[in-house]
Amino acid sequence: MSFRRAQVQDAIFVRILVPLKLVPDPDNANKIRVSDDNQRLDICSMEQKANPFDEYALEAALRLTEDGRAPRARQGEIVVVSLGSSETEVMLRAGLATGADRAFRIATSDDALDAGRVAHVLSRLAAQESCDLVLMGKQSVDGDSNEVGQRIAAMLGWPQVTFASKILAHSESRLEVEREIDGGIQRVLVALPAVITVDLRIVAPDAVRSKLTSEDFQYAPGVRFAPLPAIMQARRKQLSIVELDAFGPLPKRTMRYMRYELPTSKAGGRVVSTPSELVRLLASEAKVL
Amino acid sequence: MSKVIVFLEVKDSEALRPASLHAITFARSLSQSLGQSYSLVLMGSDISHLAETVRGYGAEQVYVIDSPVFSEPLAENFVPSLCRVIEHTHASFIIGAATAAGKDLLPRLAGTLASAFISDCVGAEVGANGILWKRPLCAGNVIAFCESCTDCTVVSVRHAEFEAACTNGGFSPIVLFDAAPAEAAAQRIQLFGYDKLDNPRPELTEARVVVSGGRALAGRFFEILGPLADTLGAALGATRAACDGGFAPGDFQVGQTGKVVAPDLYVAVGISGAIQHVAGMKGARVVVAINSDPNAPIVSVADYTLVGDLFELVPELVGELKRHTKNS
Ligand SMILES: Cc1cc2nc3c(=O)[nH]c(=O)nc-3n(C[C@H](O)[C@H](O)[C@H](O)COP(=O)(O)OP(=O)(O)OC[C@H]3O[C@@H](n4cnc5c(N)ncnc54)[C@H](O)[C@@H]3O)c2cc1C
Ligand SMILES: Nc1ncnc2c1ncn2[C@@H]1O[C@H](COP(=O)(O)O)[C@@H](O)[C@H]1O
Repeated sequence: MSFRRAQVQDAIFVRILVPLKLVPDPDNANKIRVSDDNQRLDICSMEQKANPFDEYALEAALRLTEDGRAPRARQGEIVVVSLGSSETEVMLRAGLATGADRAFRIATSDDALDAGRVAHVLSRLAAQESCDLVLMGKQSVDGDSNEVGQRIAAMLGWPQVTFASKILAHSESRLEVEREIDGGIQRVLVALPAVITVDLRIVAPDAVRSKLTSEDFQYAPGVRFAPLPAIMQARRKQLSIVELDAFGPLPKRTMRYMRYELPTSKAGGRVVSTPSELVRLLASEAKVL
Repeated sequence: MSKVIVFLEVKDSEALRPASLHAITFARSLSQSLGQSYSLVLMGSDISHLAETVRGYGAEQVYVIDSPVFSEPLAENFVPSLCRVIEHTHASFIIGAATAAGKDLLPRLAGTLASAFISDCVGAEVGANGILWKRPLCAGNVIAFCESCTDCTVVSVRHAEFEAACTNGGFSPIVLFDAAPAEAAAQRIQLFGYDKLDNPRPELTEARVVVSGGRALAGRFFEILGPLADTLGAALGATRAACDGGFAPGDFQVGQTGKVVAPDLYVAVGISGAIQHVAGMKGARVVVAINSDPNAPIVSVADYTLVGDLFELVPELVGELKRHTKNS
């Protein structure tokens, strides 16, 4: 199953692993319900979508492996992977259509997973496929944990660059990355192999630049969509389905969800007609002034 | 020795991050329920001068690791030394604030220890069968209770949900510790620069009043909101749209994937109230919305709404607030 890394004369061939997670439509998160026994989340009726941060990571990977002006020719390989049911395959195919080269689905039900197990499988896959970079979302917008990327880095003993808002390639194996941290922007230089997790601003027009892309090039903001011929072509790209335990015995679970509740919502407020009335109410009724 | 240890964050080698004091409050109540003590861990480069200031928080011990290893605030430099303290204390619970640094470091620590990580924890129920950790999911639309299955549990605390700890007398003994060498991975990552944001106003997650603005403010973000924030002594926040548009710095973003705030008063100006934004501010005690659209989703979250043009209403509100302060 593993591919030999191609060495094209002096240009090193970079291989990027981009994990994609399928999540319930985040714009309808307020419609999520809890089962009567508080044991399950009821998301059956909700549309499933790719985690937005993972779509941003894929866009960043595409930008890192191309000349922005000639995005068809890819300098490197992008492998997308999801742990989940067959429903994730539509998302993986969409990833292939936008430019990823190969896909893996690690067949499992979500119940069998926790962050430690996801990180175990993804780090093994990254090693097996000789990936130079794991480029992924900083958090999944359903679990909101923000931990899998850091765990992968720890497991592989690789440097981690979390919350990346800008990536500039100095060479094929050295990247300058800007991170959004409290109180400002931190800039780091990282030598691959490494794990990078991306923040929202990574899809700004000048956020990611490969060595091939000229300095004045501006991308359209956001992520790209696949043109129709690419969607057809993507059907011929390789999508391998692998069992969850193909990477060695699963590690012991680290945590388990025991119970869910819906938060209490507060009573509706009221419309106030003028700023002076607002000030009066804030002082006398709400007592915050 | 304490089963509960708190990682204290130091800002620019100068001061303790106030967020860490909120994490101490959480650790205190957890250790109380467990009938245990707690200890503090202070790590940094040239930070011995801070040790005295943390002795009064009632910790059984204050571990101080002062080393040039920490001059670059990177997780790869901190994890080995934290592991050393955990090994020495046999700690079961490692607690830190869910700041940017905490969110970077604590999950890597959990990965290294193969331990559970409880992200953005908002409470802990200690019962006969163990501890249930409470944390929000799905942009705060679900509250989950989870159990750790490992000996060690690493917890990041949603600090805005807890009060800052006060000193309660006492004089914790200081234990000086040697730093462990950085991880090998540290050789492949190097700090290259830090563009510190010049923000004279209070820090978002600490402020008692927050004024936030959305896309509608466009290029007039600071011109319109600055005077309102200053009149209220408030921190400034923003929506993703305002940050992406370059009207406000990314550090201002409030929401599911930005900062979570829980002030006494939150004023949302020209903000529609998308799920991802509301996730970061619905813990506010009183919410005011200023919006031209009476049907914007923020209105159903707000206690008081002013409907109309923000460019007229906000300056008028500033005038009224000044008049109120003068008269009272
Ligand atoms: C993965 C992901 C993560 C996200 N995370 C966050 C997050 O953490 N925080 C966040 O905020 N968003 C986040 N978002 C974005 C979120 O979905 C919304 O797009 C965003 O919050 C909208 O910002 P806004 O309210 O400023 O803009 P809009 O939705 O455009 O709203 C502008 C509002 O201003 C009002 N208005 C316009 N002109 C005037 C005027 N003259 N006077 C008064 N009112 C006026 C309008 O009626 C409207 O309600 C995220 C999105 C994604 C996909
Ligand atoms: N089931 C999964 N399949 C693929 N990637 C995942 C899965 N779960 C988590 N991830 C990745 O881990 C990142 C962080 O997720 P989390 O730590 O759960 O917030 C996500 O943005 C994904 O890239």
